[in-house]
Amino acid sequence: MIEEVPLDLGGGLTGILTRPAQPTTRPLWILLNAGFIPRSGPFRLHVDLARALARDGIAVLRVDQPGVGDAPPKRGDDVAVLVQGLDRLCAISGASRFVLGGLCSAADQAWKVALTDARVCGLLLLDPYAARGAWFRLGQLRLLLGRGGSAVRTVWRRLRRRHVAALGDRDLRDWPDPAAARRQAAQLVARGVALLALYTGGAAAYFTDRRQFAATYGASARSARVRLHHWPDCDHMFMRHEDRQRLQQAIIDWARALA
Amino acid sequence: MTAVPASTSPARGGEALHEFAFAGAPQRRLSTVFRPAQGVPRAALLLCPPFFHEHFLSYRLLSLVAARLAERGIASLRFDYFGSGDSWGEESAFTLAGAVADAEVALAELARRAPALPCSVLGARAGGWIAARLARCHRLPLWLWQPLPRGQVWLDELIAMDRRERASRQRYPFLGAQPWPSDPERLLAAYCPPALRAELAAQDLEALLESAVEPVHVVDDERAAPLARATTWHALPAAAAAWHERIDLRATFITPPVAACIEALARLAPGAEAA
Repeated sequence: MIEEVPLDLGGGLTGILTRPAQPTTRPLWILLNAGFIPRSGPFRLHVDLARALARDGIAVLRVDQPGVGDAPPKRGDDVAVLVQGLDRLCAISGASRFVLGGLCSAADQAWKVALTDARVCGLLLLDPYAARGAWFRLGQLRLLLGRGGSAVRTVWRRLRRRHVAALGDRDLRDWPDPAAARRQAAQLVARGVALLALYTGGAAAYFTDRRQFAATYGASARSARVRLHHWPDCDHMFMRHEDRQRLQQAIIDWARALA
Repeated sequence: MTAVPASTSPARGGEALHEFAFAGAPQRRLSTVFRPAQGVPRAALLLCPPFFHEHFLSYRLLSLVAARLAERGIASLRFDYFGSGDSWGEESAFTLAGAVADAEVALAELARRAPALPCSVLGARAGGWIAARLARCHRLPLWLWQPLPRGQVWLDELIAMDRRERASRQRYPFLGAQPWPSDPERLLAAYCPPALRAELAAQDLEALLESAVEPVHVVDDERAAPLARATTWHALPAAAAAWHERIDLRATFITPPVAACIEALARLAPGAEAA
């Protein structure tokens, strides 16, 4: 039987730890908040994933970071809070290695923690950063043509109007610049960090073609430690039940490969 | 899936002012979050959350409501229905009757944690149907946050929203000419088979309130028609009430009009005169 234990890790970091039935030496997973969605995840994604991974012998903590869910308001540096949380988790659970990640902003934060803390040995990145570029534009064009003539006319009308800059992912997300992203990926892969990157159709504002991944991250993208999926038919929040099941299976497959 | 009861007091490393615990029978463990009153406690409140996607969209708001009330001497307990949120159970285990039974368990847990305090019950959105039943059964003051007077109206809204989302090019940019097909077992990602839909459609809040539940304090969208049975009615501006109309990764927060509603409710709670 698996067990769930509430934890208060300090610094405003709280959550629920799902433990497998048997003691494990495998890395402990931490699912960070997707935007402002509480620890249970969008449509209970984190709850279902944590319990499925626990049945597979992996301990999983789903957290509320400061300012989200039940956590106190945000006061300081999120990365520092998470690193302190890892310290406390080491003391509580005995874990010494961690897999971090989640959806959207969770992927961005996990990336930053991994860069500063060598205990992070795996990153689960759902709709993480990617640089736009030629492959993105090609994907955009393909997407547009696939929608037929009316879509092309709509875009043409928009282009003829005066351009008003709207807030985009780059404004709302905590992304590195392209050169830094490539350097950081190389650093993580050299350290042996395993990466699962999955882009959904919901990221079409900045990711439309899987070749963008290699263009963004360079040689690191081809490492055996890196696994990439592009699911254009899936939305950013995995709203369809089939998509959540497919995601859970992809993550479990990756976790088994890590073991 | 079976849960092993966890320790009732979490490992504490910091300043979190609430206490997580799992409550209830081992085969039906419910996630609860108790927030003790600061200073001298004067009242206790059980919060019944909304259903389906509205559960996670409202989570931060209700957490902040509980925090504000705690500052005004009101302890509270929030919980997740079996098969929802952090509680145990597959989502297919969620039923209305089960939700009412879960609320009873949560009320007992609140009484255990905040003994001898006069208790009220708050229902948010569909949670109002659960809270109203509890209030009627235990003769408790009832607070309703954006209640749903008619189940059929809400169900129709969910069905329309589900249709829009399945056809949305904003949600599914790569969608072809046809929307995703509907799933008779699901509504907006939630498990909602025909039997549950029929139960939802039959909900009539005014009828539930007829059998002498009072007082009934209501916080609602300024655009909504006031409930006939409302003892007091507090208006939320449309912008603060629209959190359930869009499904994304945002949360709703306490703005001054929301804070004013919470303040009004706190003043109506037992013991306000002494506080």
